Amino acid sequence: MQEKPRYYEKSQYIETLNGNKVSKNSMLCGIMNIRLHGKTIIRPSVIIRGDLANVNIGRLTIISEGTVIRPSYKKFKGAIMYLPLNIGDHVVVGEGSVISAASIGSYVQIGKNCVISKRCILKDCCVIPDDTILAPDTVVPPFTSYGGNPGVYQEDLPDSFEQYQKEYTTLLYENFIPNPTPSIPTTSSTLKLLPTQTSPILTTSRTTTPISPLSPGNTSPPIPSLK
Amino acid sequence: MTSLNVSVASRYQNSTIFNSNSVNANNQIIKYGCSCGKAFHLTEEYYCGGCQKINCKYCISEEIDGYYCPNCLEYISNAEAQLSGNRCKKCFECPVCFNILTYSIHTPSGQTEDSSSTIPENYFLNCGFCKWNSFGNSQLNSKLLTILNSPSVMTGSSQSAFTSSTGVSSPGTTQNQQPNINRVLEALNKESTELNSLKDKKAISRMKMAHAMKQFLVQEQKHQKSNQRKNFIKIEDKWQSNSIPHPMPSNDLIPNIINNPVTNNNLLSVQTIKKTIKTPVSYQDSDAMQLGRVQSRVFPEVIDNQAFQDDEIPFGMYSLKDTDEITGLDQRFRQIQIGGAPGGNSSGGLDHLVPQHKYLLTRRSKRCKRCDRLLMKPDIKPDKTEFKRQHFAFSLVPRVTVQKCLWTDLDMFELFLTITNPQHSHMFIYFPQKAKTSFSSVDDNSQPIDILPTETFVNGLLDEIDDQDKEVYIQQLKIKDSTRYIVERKDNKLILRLFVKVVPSALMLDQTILTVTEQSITPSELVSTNSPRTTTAVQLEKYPSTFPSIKFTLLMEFSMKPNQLSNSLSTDSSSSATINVTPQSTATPTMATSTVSTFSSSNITSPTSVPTTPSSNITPLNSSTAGDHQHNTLKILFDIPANKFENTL
Ligand SMILES: [Zn+2]
Ligand SMILES: [Zn+2]
Ligand SMILES: [Zn+2]
Ligand SMILES: [Zn+2]
Repeated sequence: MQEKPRYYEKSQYIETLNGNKVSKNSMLCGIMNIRLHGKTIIRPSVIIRGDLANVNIGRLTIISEGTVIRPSYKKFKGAIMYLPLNIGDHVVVGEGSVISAASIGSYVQIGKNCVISKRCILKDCCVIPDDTILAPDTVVPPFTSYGGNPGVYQEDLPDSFEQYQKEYTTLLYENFIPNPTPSIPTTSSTLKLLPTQTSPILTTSRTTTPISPLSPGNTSPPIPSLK
Repeated sequence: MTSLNVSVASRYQNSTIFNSNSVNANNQIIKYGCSCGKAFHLTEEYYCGGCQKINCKYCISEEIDGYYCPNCLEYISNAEAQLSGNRCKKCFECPVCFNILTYSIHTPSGQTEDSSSTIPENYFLNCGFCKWNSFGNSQLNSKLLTILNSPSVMTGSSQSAFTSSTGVSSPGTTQNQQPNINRVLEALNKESTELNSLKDKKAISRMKMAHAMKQFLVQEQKHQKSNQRKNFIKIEDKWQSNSIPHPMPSNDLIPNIINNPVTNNNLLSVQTIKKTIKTPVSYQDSDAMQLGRVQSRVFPEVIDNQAFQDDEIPFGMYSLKDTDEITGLDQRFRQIQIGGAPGGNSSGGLDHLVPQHKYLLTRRSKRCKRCDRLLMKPDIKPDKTEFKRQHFAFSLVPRVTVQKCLWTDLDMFELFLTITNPQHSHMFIYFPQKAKTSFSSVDDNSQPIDILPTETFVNGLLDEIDDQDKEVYIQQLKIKDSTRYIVERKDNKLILRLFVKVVPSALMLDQTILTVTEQSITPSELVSTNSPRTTTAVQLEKYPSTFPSIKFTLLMEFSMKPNQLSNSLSTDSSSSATINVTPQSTATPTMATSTVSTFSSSNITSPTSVPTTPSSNITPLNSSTAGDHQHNTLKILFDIPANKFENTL
């Protein structure tokens, strides 16, 4: 089954000349240190801490809602030294993940609610399934899947994973299209209503439940059934 | 056509978790059938250029090219890995959570940093995840220093450092057991290479042939030197290397002289051979044999209640204060050494656990089991993702994905397929009509009944046209594009519409019923707008589905060169294009026309004038070059859950 097109509100996104699509509801700190190499999608409530160190994100890479990208550090002679964070091409990062790796290669899939701890190195062509926690300094070799808590070797990936991922990210990018009719509400409308301050974004990135503390309509207790 | 010898295919669970239902459920929908009858997702299959067939994981043989440590990514040769018991010399795994341990230096209070480096006990292993550490295990910690200081670890060549380090985790077991295991492994390896060298059916039939030939030629051999024959007889020497009579396998190629007394002279005459050979070993026989061998490797899954219960009472279980102190099954399993005494480790508490060296991973090359051709060879460097050879089905075979499906009636639905051409030049596809009644999979409950009847093309990635005649042909096909079947062309993709009917038993369906229904099907008004977006806005009539998931099989032929047998084109007046495209595609346009002129010079003077070549002239040319552009038949098995339909009730 093919990925269905995902529509977005044109007014909610900044589109650059080389095809980057960055949500206005994302937080890019230290924007001077953040480099997007083109055709990169940054969805709402993503936080990228470019103020700590340089962050490079490759082509056709998709960063989903609520993901935090935070460069890692190393203690060196008593001082804390932040390391630049490089993410390759054709990378998909799922919703609500925290990325503190030293480097992420190309053709990488990171699932939802993953924690990629400090100084992890993800080589090209690897998969981190949903809800994985990678311990600090973990190295993920090519063509493997590391999952669990802590993330350990699970299995080998199919050899044609590079081609598969290339196709997949290209399709995701091509299917991310502006909404032709603004009247049709999109699925991510609840996230758009959020203001751009840091605290509410952080709460939404942590909570996966649909009941948001900001929407008072949902907070009322469920009515017990008469039976 | 030859690939259809196994007519029924069945869907198999994808072999990777990545393609499983829980991770990528979409990758369970479409599977490509292998000639052995199993079907997997395209990413898990290879395409052999020699046999022009798909290879599933059961139809490849794997060979380990090298080992590597998943943590330090160091390449380790086969011999070295054998010596170390397939473990990394440097890297340790946490005995509690299996995370990689890091080397740490402990500086006791009151000491300066300079003095700490000289005391070996100050090195210890530390888990950054569960905070386990080897602090206090002075025996282990002192060994760490030798690993760190040993030059062999840095270069990764000698084994001395390893044996001393394994002594930590398993005193006296690995060193003694390893040579024993190596001997067994060596014997097994030798046997497997010998078996491989027989090359199955080819070698066996050749040996039989050689034996039969020797019976006939043994007398002439005395007079001749026959260098060529010497090679031939050499294989048969295996049977007669010593004087002891060997039990000979039954050989149908040797005439039964007792029942059929004939003289030496007419032994080779056709009549004699016909008379004596009753059942020669046919390709069907050897194929069936090979299939049986492949299927014998499928093992039944272990049912939970069949697994053995570990009824041993753990050591000190009754005196235990905290159940968290007892080791889990995974933790115990990792403590078990090959043939070694587990001691207190296997059932004790957490404090008995010792860190183990990290297991190595492998880089493997893959071969076709049918023709032994190399399908995949990885780069030997563990951090490289390039391949020395890659024959992935994913990048050679047209990829099919379901764009959407819509019920048009209770038992009928429209299916929109996206066909992607992964190659650089144009690809020609065709759906054989005979596919409708036969060659379906075992558990099919539906059948495609109205598919594009003619050949069509899918643009290549680069859109390059390598010869002009192909261009002409493509233009012709483009004109013929019927909106009934071809929805859209975009880049290297083609969106195709087809109609599928749900039938209780697909194999029982009659061809005659099909032809009647075909006339009555009309594409739904909703989709006639050709825009997928507008259809979602319109309220669709909903239908209940008879089955929880709709399963059917689609046959598709593909080739890089056009198919002359296409029924629409053979009736076409401009058949020049069909002739012109038959020469090798590498030929330049001028060369191509010259070959045509030589071919048709007997009745046509100028190749530029549209020749009215009779179809009988085309067929021999077509059959003679059939090997060059053979049409490869793909068996595509669909399994679409009913909830994926846009209008399921
Ligand atoms: Zn197979
Ligand atoms: Zn290692
Ligand atoms: Zn641990
Ligand atoms: Zn082959």
